[in-house]
Amino acid sequence: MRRHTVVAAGLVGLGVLCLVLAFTGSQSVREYVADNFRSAGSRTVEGSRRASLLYDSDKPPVATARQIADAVKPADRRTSPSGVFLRYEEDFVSVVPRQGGSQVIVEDDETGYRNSYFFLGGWWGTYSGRGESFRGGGPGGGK
Amino acid sequence: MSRALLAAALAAVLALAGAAPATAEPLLEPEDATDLAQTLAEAQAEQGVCYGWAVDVDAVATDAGSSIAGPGQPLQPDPAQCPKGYVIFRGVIDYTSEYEEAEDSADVRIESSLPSAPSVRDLEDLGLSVDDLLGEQDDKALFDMVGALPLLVAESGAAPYVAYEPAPPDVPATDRPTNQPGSDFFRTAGPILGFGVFLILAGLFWLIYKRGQQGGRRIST
Repeated sequence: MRRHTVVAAGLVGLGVLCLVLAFTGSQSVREYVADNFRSAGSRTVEGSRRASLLYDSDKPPVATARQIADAVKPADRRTSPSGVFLRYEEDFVSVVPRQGGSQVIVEDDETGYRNSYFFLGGWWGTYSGRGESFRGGGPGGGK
Repeated sequence: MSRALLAAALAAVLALAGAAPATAEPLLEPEDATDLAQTLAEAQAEQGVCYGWAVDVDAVATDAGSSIAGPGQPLQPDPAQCPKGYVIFRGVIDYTSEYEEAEDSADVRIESSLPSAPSVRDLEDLGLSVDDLLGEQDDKALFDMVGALPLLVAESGAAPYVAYEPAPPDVPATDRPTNQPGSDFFRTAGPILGFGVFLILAGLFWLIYKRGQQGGRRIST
């Protein structure tokens, strides 16, 4: 077999292998979270149409969020005092603190935006706002 | 002579353009600065740690705020209001003109009284890069970096976490997510997919090229 044919076959073979890896190795964020964290059931927040899937992680929020983002690259991410939010094509993933680690909340985009409205509002969607002036902290100064 | 005068005039114009003071605009819009200050104030109420931020752009103070005094005021730590300490985000951004060799630069320093203060490396672990302050979404970068400080303080064990609470039911129904992101598949698998296609095309091109060369040699002999 001529050498150039072998070289061409090798390049094409490697290319096909890359395509196979790309299609078989990719995983949705829902699949990744379900495979890598303990299910903690689901909940439906009042006013939401769909349930949020809950998972528990033994790692703190930053480490858990980094693990998820490294495995399934998000389109965007936001950080807040209360956790890390990852945005995907159709899903929102919130990584928030819980006793002993963190909780991963997987929701569709509408539900996730609504539930985390005060953290994501105005950045990932429309936002009517929660107040125009600085109120400070302490009792009565919350959301 | 006229050419020398023209060159001197051009040099003078370029020098003036380079020396002209940059118009330093705040990174955050006023409502975002208010929102950020309020977010930090709520964190302070739960953690007992005070937070603030101060950013200079081209040696001009453009952005400042704190959990005590709100937007526009740099943090003045007060032991009575900050029993566990304070954390201040300090950013320095320098934009250069297109005639200078030096590139735009951003530097971040986190000043704190806490024993295990958040660091720039901690921000990078959250996917936040100092260079993001030079990008088109510099406001989002600043907001996220400063907003992350209470989370990082809690992770160090210096203060409790700020609890996550879902929004109440009265969120306006008209507010919805926008700017639908692109395909998750192509974002994750795009590089290896592109490399695979490149290899296949390279192999086919190599085969066609070499056969074309062989065809040319046969004709010439």
